[in-house]
Amino acid sequence: MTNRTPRLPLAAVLTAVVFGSAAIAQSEQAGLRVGAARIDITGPAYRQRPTMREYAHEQLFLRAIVIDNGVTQAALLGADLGGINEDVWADASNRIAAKLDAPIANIIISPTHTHSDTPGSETPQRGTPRYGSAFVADVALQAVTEALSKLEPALVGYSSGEAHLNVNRDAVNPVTHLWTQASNLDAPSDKTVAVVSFVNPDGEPIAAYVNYAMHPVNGYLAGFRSGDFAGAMSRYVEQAFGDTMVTIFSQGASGDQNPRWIRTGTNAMASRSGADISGYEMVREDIEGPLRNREVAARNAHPEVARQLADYMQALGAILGEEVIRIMSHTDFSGAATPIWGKQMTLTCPGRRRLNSGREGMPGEYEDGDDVNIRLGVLAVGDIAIASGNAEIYSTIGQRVKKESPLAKTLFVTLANGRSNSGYIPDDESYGHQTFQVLGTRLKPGCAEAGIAAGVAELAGEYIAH
Amino acid sequence: MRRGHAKRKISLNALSLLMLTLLGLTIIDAAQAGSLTVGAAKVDISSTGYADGKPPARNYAHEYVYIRAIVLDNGETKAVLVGADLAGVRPEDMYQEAAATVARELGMPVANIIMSPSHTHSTYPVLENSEQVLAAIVRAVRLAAADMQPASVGFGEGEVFLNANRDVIDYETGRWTQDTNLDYPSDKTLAVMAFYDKRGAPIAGYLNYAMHPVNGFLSGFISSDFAGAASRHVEQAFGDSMITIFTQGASGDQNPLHLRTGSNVMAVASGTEVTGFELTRETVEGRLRGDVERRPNDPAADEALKRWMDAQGQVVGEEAIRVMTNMGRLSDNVRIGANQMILTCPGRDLVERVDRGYPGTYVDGDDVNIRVGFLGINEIGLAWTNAENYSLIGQQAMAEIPLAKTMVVTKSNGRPNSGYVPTDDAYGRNTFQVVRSRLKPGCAHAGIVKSVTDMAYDYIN
Repeated sequence: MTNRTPRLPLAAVLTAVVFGSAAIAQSEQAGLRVGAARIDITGPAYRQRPTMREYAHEQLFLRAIVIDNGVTQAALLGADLGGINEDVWADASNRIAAKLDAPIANIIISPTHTHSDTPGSETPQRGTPRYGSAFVADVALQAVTEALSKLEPALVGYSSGEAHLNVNRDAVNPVTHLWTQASNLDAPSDKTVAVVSFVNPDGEPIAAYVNYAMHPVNGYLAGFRSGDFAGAMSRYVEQAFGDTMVTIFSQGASGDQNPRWIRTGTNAMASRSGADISGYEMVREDIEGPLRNREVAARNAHPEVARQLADYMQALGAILGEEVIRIMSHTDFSGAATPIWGKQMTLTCPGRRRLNSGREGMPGEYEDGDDVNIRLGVLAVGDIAIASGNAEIYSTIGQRVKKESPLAKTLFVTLANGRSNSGYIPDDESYGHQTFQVLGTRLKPGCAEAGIAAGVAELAGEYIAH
Repeated sequence: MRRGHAKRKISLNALSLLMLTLLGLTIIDAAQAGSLTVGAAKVDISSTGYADGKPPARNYAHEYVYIRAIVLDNGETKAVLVGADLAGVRPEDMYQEAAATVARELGMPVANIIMSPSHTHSTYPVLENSEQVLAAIVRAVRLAAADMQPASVGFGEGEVFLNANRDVIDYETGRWTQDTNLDYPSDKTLAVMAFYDKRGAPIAGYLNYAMHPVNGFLSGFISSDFAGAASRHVEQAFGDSMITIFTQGASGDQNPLHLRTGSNVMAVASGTEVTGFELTRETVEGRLRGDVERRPNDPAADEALKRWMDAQGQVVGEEAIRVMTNMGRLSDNVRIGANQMILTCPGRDLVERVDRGYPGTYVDGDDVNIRVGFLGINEIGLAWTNAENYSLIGQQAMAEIPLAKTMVVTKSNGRPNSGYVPTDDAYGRNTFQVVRSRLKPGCAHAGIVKSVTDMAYDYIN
């Protein structure tokens, strides 16, 4: 066989076995239908943020996949943005739920968390709205509407692979012996690339929903707009299939996960601040700190340095994209009756308020604070559970969520469906790390890790019981 | 990590021991350490791949083809490392002449030279011009020798997860074929030896990773593949002021995990539909290897492949730079020692050519001679063979060799009459590498490991 997809007969059998009762209960369902759309949200270029106009990842998109089983509908949305605020999510999800006549819990809206989505995350000119935030709800509804108009018979499949591009970023500086943000090859890191993909009955892809845990920080403070490796990956996969399908990147549990290599991004920062570039890896914080804290005047990065970073983002996107396509090529697809079920819950944990300041490498001082609310959800599509949490969550928690979920095909989308008042969510063991994520978290230790894992397991269990 | 690999006792049967013949020599090294000086250079030989000598416009660094050389001198003796963006440093007589010329000009033994290709499968038109390759090798060495400066040397290891074992049973045909096998051995180690000047700036990098550069095989264009891209990525990261040689690890059974873009180019050339998904490589490649009339390339498919080679090169290159940045102890007073020998094993000949996936029938054949060697640079060991060894042979050699800082460089210093060198346990696989190997099982696997290990012990003793 030259083309390796789809593997329909085996998939149909497996689905019937695993979901026998569900299939019977849903026997009146029509077949699955899926539509997908992609809308450009790049926004205008302006002088302070020059564009190279050479790379696919310089364009930002909001993407939507609508899934319809004849009984209800669900929507998966992904945006090449750093974040989506609580109020924007609430507005968007309410309007999309009304459009679909489906519960809000059937909708997952998440950003890729790119750190170079400007002007999405800043005001380009006085009196001008923040492009990404101000228009996200409108564009989200527009994307869902367009996806709805493209519904076509579909099969769904899930499979996973690996990409060894990420690394834990909570580390002790070997020189200062203080905690900092740097590569730590000995600390937890989940290499899993999970892909939910949808194909039409001819095996042609309609959409893919990708989950991987790695902060898109390559372009942070680089001075040009980019969807980073995440946007590059989406466009790579889409273009591999002749731009006839849509690929959404969703962020896994990446609170403590950076790219293994951030040299080119650090070089771009150095170019902006006037620091020497050695060619070697440089200590990120030494370069980033002054620029982040506006202690140095930032100029545009040298075009050659910026291009090296953009090339690198493209390369990471290609590597991840090829793994996604490999996974899709080896996925078993099912066209059997596919239940769609969604539910959300709020996990409340004791909060704390920090009394001292300082970014990292020092102990934090705290007093009791307001409770922290974390929105969790499970959107089930057949035997696949798309779990969600609305914060930046550490890798160990994400791995625990997947391990404790009663559904083997579980992926965990973070930064999804609004924004918790938690800050980062470290696992309990990481509370000893004096990193900016841990020092800044509003969560007291001992609640969120177990609570998130148990919450998702409970929701998935309820789905199975249902 | 390979360092955690359990040491395995290597045993040679009596026959193999008898066949193990030491042809060359003793340690040819100066026992004394001395201050290290290093020079490095590269020569562009891209134009030799084009009939009119004029390369077309090129957008990617890996579309250039280089011969690179690093010359080491400790005041007592010298060593030379040559890297070529070629499938092999061959034919054998060209290697012999190049090695003899370099040894004579620099006044050192041939055993102190390692000439190795990246093994790219997409520069064959260049490889055919062996006289020009020979001249480029000699010129690169001369340029490097003319640019010596005080230096220190270090060794480090990283990991790159781009390769995969390629011996697998096709799930549809039930026959052995060449395709990804995630369950079989694969060494992810990227070993890096680097030379630094007195200010800490790099003079040269010497990379070792086990992955066949087959992305551009039968693509119809010239490229040094991910290996050349990696070399250029590192060189350009340092302002093109240093040289980076890519060498092959034990990659006889190692391919890139992702071959889709290369298969797509083959599909276009053979008239097979490109779906966007992975295509079964052998189906597409087989048509093109056969007698199908080749169709014109699709520029878009070519571009996608070139971009993919570049992406892989960037990842290998970034990991190499990470290792170079975090290199441990450096030495500027070094000992250089080398040895090489011929391992002779019983040979076999196929009675008749068989299709891939089918077992071969054999008769006794001429003995197989494999050149193996060891070059020690202080606490760093470069074990090498001139064959394409399976991954486990390399991993076992590194586990047995007493120097922790060791890499295994394959396809170095000529070409044996062996074909591939499978591990003994792989002889049941009807892959083209195993079926066409001229080696009888039971000799080369253990023999190579024992030979390089013995030479390493000789070096440290």
